[in-house]
Amino acid sequence: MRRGNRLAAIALVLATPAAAGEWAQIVAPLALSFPSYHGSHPSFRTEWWYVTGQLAEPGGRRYGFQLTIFRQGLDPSPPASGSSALRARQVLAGHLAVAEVGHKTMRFAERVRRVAAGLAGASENDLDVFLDDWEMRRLPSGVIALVADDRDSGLTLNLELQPAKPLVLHGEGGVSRKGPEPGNASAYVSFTRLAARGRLSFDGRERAVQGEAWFDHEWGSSQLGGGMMGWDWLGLRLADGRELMLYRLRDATGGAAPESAGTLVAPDGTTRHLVVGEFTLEPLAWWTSPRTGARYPARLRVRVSLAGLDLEVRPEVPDAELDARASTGTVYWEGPVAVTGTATGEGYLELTGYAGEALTRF
Amino acid sequence: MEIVTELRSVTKRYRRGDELVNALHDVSFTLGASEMVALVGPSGCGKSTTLNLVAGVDRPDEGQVIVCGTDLAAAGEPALVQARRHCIGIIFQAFHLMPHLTVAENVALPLALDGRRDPARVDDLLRRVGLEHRRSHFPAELSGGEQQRTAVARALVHRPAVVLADEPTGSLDSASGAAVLQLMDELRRQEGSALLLATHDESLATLADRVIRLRDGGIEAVL
Amino acid sequence: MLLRTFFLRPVRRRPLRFVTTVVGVAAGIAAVVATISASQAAVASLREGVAEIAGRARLEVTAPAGVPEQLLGRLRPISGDALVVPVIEEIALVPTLGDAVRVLGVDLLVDAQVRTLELSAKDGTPLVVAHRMLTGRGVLVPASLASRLALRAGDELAVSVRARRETLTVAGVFTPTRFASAWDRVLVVDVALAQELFGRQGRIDRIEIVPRSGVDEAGLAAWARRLLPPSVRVEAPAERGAASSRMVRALQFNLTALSGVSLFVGAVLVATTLATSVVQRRTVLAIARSLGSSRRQLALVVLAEALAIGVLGGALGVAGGLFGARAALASVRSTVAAAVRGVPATAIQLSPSLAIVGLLVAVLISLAAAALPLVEAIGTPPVQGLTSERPAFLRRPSRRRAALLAIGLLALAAALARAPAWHDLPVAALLASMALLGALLVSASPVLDALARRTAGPQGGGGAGTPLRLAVAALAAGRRRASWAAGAVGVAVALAVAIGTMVHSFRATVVDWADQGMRADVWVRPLTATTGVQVGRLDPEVVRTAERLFGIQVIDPFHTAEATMRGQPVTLGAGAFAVVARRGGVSFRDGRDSRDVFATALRHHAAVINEPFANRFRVNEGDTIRLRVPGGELVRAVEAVFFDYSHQQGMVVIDRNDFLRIYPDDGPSELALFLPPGADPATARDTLLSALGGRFLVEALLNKELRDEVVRIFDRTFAITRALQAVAVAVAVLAVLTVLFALLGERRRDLALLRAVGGSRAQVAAVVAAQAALLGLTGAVGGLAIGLAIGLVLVKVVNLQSFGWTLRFLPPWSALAATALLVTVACFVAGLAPALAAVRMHPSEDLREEG
Repeated sequence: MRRGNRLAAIALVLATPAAAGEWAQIVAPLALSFPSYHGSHPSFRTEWWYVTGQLAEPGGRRYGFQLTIFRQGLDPSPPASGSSALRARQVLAGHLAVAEVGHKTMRFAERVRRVAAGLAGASENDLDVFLDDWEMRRLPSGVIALVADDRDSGLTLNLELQPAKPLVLHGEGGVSRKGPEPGNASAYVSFTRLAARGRLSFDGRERAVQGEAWFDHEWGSSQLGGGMMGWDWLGLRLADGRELMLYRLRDATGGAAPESAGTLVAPDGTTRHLVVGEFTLEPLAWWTSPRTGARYPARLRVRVSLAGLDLEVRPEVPDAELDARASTGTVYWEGPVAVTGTATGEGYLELTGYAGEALTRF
Repeated sequence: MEIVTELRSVTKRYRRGDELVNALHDVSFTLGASEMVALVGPSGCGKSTTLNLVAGVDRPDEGQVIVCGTDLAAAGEPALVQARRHCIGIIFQAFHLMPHLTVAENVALPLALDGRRDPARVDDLLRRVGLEHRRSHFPAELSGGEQQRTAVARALVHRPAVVLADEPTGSLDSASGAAVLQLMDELRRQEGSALLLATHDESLATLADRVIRLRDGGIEAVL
Repeated sequence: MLLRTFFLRPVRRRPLRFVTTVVGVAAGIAAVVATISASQAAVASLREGVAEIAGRARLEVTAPAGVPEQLLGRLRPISGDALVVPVIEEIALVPTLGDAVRVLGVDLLVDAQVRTLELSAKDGTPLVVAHRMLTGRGVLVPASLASRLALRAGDELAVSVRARRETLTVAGVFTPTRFASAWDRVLVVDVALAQELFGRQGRIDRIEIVPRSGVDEAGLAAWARRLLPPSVRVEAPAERGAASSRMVRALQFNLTALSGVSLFVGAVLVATTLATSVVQRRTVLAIARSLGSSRRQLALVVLAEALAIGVLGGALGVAGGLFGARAALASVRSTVAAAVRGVPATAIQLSPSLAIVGLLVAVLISLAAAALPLVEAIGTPPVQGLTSERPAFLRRPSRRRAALLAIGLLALAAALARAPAWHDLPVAALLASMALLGALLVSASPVLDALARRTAGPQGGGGAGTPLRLAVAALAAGRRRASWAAGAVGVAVALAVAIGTMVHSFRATVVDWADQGMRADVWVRPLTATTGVQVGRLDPEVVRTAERLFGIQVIDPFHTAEATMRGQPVTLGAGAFAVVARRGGVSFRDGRDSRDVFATALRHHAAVINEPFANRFRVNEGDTIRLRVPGGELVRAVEAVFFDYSHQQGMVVIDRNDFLRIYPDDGPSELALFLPPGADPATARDTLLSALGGRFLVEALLNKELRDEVVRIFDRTFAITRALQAVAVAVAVLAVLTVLFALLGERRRDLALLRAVGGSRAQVAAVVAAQAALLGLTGAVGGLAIGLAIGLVLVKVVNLQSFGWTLRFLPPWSALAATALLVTVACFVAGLAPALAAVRMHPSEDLREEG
């Protein structure tokens, strides 16, 4: 399970009549069938496709980007006779965020639509998700194409992502435990390194960009156990060819829950599942949002002794707080980071549950 | 001599601001049939008040005003109306003709108000005041003297016992004034009416049988 | 100083005269403000409904029978440039409210960016509420309605939809940020729930397109048109608003014109009073001029008085109009609701501009009315003012001039009444009415003059005749003012008579039409609001139940749908021609038997059209009409034109079987039951109602009940007209009162003299009262004649041009006679007050010498 999105999941779940018994549960290692594995899984309550990455212009200007599409199931039971085809059985929400590293600024846009009448939808056969005119699609070549734009924030994103390494199954065969109860788990797979190439526009000024990206796909129905305050997630691409994914679930005391975990991906694509105790995340500094007053960890010391990693993770744009109350109902911090220490690299950091108001409300 | 009008100890007060002013104080006099009495005195001496009381358009605070045998001080409205219709004729300084009625209609008005018609009487009086050629004219088309002659005819048309005249020449030049006064006296003698004349002009009073000099609401002298 | 002497002092000493003038102005202004704001409220609520409830939409996608929901997806390419919002707008009844509400089906996920609905914070964030609405049967209730019905989030709210009882759950309470009145009868539900409630699965009413900032609208519209099939329209919402308000426009125009006439009466009244008040003080003003006042100073006095009257009268009128509007709204509301599908607002909000205009009009009228006396006041040489006035008979040339002018105006009126409508509005006909009123005013003076001449002559005798003669003489002397007063009375009477004639003609025609045309034994329709507004349609299940019980051959369901004819919206109706052909009853313009008409129409697939349609589109029997309907064009021969006083909108009626081939069966708007001879309608009704059980909220009316209701609705619709009639009479009485007080002041000395030379109090009172009665009578007689002429114009021209209805001209003779009598009596009674004042006058004071 991952991040900001999870808050969204909670918001939506609380808002709808509980019918959890009827949602499918992630209980055992998955039987993976491609390419439908990349598509939508509507029998589960929540699902998202999450792309982050670093891009640069040939001239050198650097950017971080995030495009996420969340799917939220509202009603697992089959449609009643006579019910409208416009009935919202699922909702898609989208977050688009681009960081201009040089300017230390962030632009953000969001969308939310019901899955009906061709307004928004997600194929069950392969990755083919659309939300208004935003699209995330896997081409026959295996390239993932992203299209998203927003007039109000002046953003346009047009990228093609070519997986550079095989698909990673997190946890145990893709089953990522998030809580103590059976069913407190999600299916979680990633392309941890993709070559990105395409165009990025700001207020109509188009720039050719290229770089590297990270693609997550996760779904489930009732992943989280109770008492969680939020989580810190990071996905780092190290210069030595390794990738590191860690998430720390924070309980009411701020301590790491036992289900916190991670994955270390070797240059050849082999993976090592990391459990709590095998890694530490330690805030070195804090940043307080001028808008919400939330206090987020600003620099992190990340240690994975068994991999010989002692890293400092530093945000490239300090203010990467995203206000998504109009689409998923959440406020979270998500932005590009640079890595120094025993290895160098780059990646994305996500911090949720710090804007206390949002958490308590949902 | 028959008494047609008698004032007995008449007092009349007006309120002027917070103060009560005696317009007339304990005034008594009589007017015999066919007699002419002049009330003289300066402005504000009580002449007009006396005339108003005799005309029945005002009431005394004390005393009696007996006209044609009726005490107007105690009489009800119908009796007052009857007194005005049969017993009293009035001539004003400012003529007070009805502007929208012709000369003949103005003269006939007292009869008409009483429900009577007497065209012969109206014609007779018009002839006697020298206005038969003006009978269809409206007051605005007449000279001051002609208007006042119309008023004289109107005051006499119903054969009143008493004619009241309040400065009848006041709005006229001296020649027309003298002529009107002459005519008035002549006619009322022919008709046998008494005349009570209020004037500040002592010279007019020479025609009178008696002159009552008023001062500050009281009788100063009877000449 | 001058002001104090010549304006404030007289006002203080004779407040009544001033007050009546102010009230007169106020009455006129109030009538105008009331009618305008009531009809504005109704129309504005429609426009606001379009503007506000349409949110920021700049473009709308519509289609005659609704937009297929799949088209939403076709517009996905433009979603980067615009929000694409599905909307269903329907009407439901809230039984606990006893009133209809607009049900707005939207997609709150997107709609939050289109419409600003402040959700109550305690119900959760907008997103939470939106999600609550997406599944289940959530409804958003406006705060005003929630407090009225004591609803909170989580409560259940029962509504009647398609005559079916439906239970919704309050998901939240919202406070509209603007135009609260546009929203206070609106329930917001999810578009999917709206489809299910109204049986509109697969279709939505419209797609709203809200451009994002910086997007070129024309380009967007072109793009949207390329993406969509040609059968749908992409247009600005204003065009839709214009189409619906066109129907209300005629109504509003007529109401405003009527109140304009009462303003006219008010103006005449003000002019009268001001004129009188100046003339009354002519001596004083002349003295003032003799003593060295300039003309300017005197003008200032007169204008100051006019200004005071205008401001006070205007302010009172605006305030009074607001109250009047509240009262009138119920009437206007049902009229508008009958004209347009929609639920007009309930609240009157006085627009500041209307208040200012009302005040301004009052002041302008007062100032204009002061012009005449002003000229007189400053034009009078000082000396002339001091001499007494001559009784002025009109000279022959002035009489001839007045007669010629009156005849000219009458001829003009006749010509204007024949002129065609201007943009569907009977402007010429109303100008004709104004010309008739002008003729009335112009002839008042010579008529009074003639009256005075007749009585002038040689002295007449008799106690009773004298006061009358004196009264006539006095009126003749003050003829200018008197003729204004008689004119004002005449105009007021004319207005009352005209309105009365129109309403009576209308009512008698409608009653006849209902008696003749309404032949069914039982009518079934959805439960109506307490205002009588029908809400929605009947569920098709109701029709099936009735058919099962009584047989298909006696059931006539009447369907309606929207279609367009030459780009204008019309109603396409459908009935069971086979059923009506057996029973008949509809009155056709050409007098044919309706059984024959329907049988022929059924055989030839022909249509019948209502009279407004025939008039509006100039279509006659035997012509062919082409309507745009979903999926193409409907071409029909016109078999006959039927009289229809229940619709202003054009209507084409075809056979139900043809109709259901074009439109989906959403259920009929009503259902008529023709029972076999001898069957008991009451029993049949009970049978039907018990078969429908408690599942449907329907009303079943027996023949007589429905006909009674037609008349009741008619009367309610014309309540505002009747109120105007009452205002007219009140203004007439005020006119007389004002003028009499003025004449009385002018004649004080004469009346005192009358007393002094032997007039009794009764005689003096009689003189004054006779003046009043004479004014009233003159005005009433003239007003009656002119009023009938105006009534004829209203009935035969105005109604036809603005509503398309042919009416018979049926003046309510006895009521008219009563009105004339009433006005005369009212004037006489109004004259009693000044008469009483005359009696109380103290002759000695008024005869006191000045010299």
